[in-house]
Amino acid sequence: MRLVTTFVPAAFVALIAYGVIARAPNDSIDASLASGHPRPAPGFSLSVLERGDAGGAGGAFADGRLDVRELRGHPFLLNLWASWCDPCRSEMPLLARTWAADRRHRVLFIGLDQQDVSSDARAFLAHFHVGYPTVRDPGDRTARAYGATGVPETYFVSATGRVVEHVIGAINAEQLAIGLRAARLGRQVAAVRGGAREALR
Amino acid sequence: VIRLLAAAAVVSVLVASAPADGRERPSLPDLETQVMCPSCGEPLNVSQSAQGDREIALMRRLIARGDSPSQIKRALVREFGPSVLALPPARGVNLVVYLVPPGLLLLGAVVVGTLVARWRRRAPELSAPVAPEQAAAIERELTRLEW
Repeated sequence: MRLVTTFVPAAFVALIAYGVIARAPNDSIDASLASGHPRPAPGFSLSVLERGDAGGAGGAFADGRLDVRELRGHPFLLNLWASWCDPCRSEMPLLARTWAADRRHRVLFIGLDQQDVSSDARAFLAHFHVGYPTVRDPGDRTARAYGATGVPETYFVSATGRVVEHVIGAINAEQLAIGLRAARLGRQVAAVRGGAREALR
Repeated sequence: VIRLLAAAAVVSVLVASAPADGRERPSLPDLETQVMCPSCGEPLNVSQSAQGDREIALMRRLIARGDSPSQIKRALVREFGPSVLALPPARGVNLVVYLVPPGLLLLGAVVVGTLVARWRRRAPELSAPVAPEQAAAIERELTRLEW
């Protein structure tokens, strides 16, 4: 009993002290982009909602699941969206149009539908004539692994598997162009510092 | 005879009110309290998000199709993942949620019970024996005061 009455309060105090003193390393994607050292994209394996046209990476979607490791060598854009989200609705025409316009598909577009009813999601894709593949994250495990705070968010990943650009909210044409360039080049071409976007050499 | 007829009437009412296939009938208000809106992290019955509205629309479709509450919950888990359930299924690591609180309560009761028992053992004797001469002195004093 003496052990319990001594050890439990001591452990409790030690836990509080650790929580106050310890500082978790900030290894988020945004922190890595701000420091200019892009980190590897978190892995995922998700079921395919719509296969679409994946260009040269079509084989990765053939078995109905996409494992991000199968995309090594292919730069890609990962767009998190949901059919109930209004900003997703506003950005989707730009994404669909840009994908359709780039016949060479130098950067693969992948939609990641989350927290959504699959029939609603399919209707949404059909409505906007989305031609690129879409996977589903039934919970939000993948979104959390990427540090997403909501939808829409867009990540640009290089051929070597590093996240080289991240856009929160509905993406615009300029942000899309910067992200696609970064993904193609395999390095950051801009970084947000002190609230302002700066070009990187 | 009257009692028999009354009992038969009660039984027939109960049988008639039960679902024909023996399944539990789903009720949207009940189900709304048992599932979450994953995007806002609130129970669906208090959620006012667009995602919650889609979830409710899906539940309405499933109820209209004749699905049971458990079928509806399974469909929701397929669509939104296990976090859509307000109460996680009692298996695997989720058992912690169900076992730890009563375990802690039990542990607390044992600790309190043991401490109380120990304090009671240590408590000093309140009624110390009175020596005969003291008792005689008290008696004399009470007599003097005409008690």
